[in-house]
Amino acid sequence: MRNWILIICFYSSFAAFTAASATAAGMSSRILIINSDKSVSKYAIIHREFKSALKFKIFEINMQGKTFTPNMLKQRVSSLHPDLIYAIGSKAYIQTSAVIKNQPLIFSSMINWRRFRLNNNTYGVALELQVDMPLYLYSYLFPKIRRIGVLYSPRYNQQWFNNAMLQAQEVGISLYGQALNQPEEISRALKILLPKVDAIWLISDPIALYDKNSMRTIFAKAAARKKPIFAYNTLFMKYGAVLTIAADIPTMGRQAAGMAEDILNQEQVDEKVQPPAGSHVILNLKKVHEYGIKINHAALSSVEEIIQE
Amino acid sequence: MDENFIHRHSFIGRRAIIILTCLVLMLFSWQLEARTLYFYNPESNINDFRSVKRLFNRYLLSATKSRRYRFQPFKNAKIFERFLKKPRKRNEVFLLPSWQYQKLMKQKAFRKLKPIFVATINNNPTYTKVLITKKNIRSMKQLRRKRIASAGDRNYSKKTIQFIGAKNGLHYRTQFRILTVPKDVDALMSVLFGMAQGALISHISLNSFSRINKRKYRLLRQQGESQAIMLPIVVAYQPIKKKSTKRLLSAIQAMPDSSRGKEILGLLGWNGWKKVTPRDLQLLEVK
Repeated sequence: MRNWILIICFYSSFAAFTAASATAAGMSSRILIINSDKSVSKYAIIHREFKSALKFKIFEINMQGKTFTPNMLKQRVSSLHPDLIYAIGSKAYIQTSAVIKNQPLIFSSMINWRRFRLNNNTYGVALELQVDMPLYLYSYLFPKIRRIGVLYSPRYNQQWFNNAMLQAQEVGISLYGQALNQPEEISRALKILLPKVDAIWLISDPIALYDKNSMRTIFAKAAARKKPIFAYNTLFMKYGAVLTIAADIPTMGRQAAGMAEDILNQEQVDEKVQPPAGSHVILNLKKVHEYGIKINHAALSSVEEIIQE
Repeated sequence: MDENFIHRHSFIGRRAIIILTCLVLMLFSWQLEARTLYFYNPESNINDFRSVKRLFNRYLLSATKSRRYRFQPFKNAKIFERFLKKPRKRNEVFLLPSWQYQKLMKQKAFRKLKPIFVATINNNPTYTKVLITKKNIRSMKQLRRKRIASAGDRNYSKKTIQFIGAKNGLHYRTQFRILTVPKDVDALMSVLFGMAQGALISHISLNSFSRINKRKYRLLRQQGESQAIMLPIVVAYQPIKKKSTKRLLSAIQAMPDSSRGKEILGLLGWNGWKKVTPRDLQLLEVK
């Protein structure tokens, strides 16, 4: 009996020791942040949030205004011996992924991350929200808006649209799509779409948003019929969008930090590239009143920013 | 110089000084009577305080027909507490989370600060937080050291999760990792799409989600619930002597009766007020 107790005691101490050394090893790990341009406010915010969420030793490279040849960057990175690298922005990711071999690399703040080549050791936080998120908020904020129109090019967004249609049904919304093959079709497409829908959902589509003119046409035609536009980027607010839902920048930094912690502590990472965990909602309350849209007051607490004039 | 001339001029000068003094005094008393509702609530999702301030001031103007009533939000708890202590703020009104009020009550300087109204959601002055996971997590034990998404104050979230854990048979010091997100719906989505293994959200948010997306709601499991938490409270130093303070309190109380007031309450996260009762004080553990 005494022997058994001794064996159990030995194994427990051994397990505790192993766990403690793993944590200690985690703490002594080195992280390198490579920022595409720290003078860009959103990159600076994400950088700050990432750094403040971690207790590891952190090194930084700011690529702002600098040209790094692959060799220079390789030398600089290897001189710092990082256990993990965090690349903020496409420039940092493209250059870093080309020169590193074994270290885990986390990316964030890259528009359409699928365009980039990912390695086995690549992890990331996408910039694009899951379609469920905006659809849920449309339904929650505007209980009377049940038919939403989307302009999309089948070449780039057919798959996205099919998925969005299914998700929309889950929240009681009918999605009406109008396919576009070239930007010249926008006016005609809106003529068909606008009478059928209560709102337009502007998505990141290279044909629908071909240039400033296409964008102006969409906003002008929707405004003429008092149909609200919901968009994916805060920039559309100045063109007259009623609502924008975008990824929340500070949350992305904290999320990437959590991933870094998991990787360094050798914990399982379920999704190598995750959608952003936080969203930032801006609502133009003046336009809501102007268009006579019924709003769910209880849902207003989901809004981060409001525009009144 | 003519003596009459000097006399006349000094008389005019004296009159000017008296008028000027009166004007200054009037202006001073006007300033003195100005009343502000000071606000601090880290649980509130809105982070663009400029627009809420504008909206609130516009409401106060229409409710009181006077520009003397203002709304002033704070982002930092320590600055807010320091501000509360200032003696010249004794006639002002404050809106703060109930847990912060309980914390303040432990300090002698705030003993005369009494709750007047409590915020309500569908006439209920309290709410609970629930810990949810996906269905495959069968017990809270599987959440040890895992990431829980939560909106609001990080330490408060940690304590609430530990409290729920203790009710589920875990040691009250069990460690969880917190991913702070802007709002409850983000926490919900984080669980559904694998950015976190659990989410701490209000029961009200979970109910809204269950009504809007029944299919996704069925993928979730509720692991536990917190104690009833009182919603934010409006407090003022007692006794309330100034008419202007009473007028500000009336304007606050009347918010659910106007559409602009309703909008502001919605942005802050609730939809009404009720007068604080002895039972509410009991819940706040204030004698």
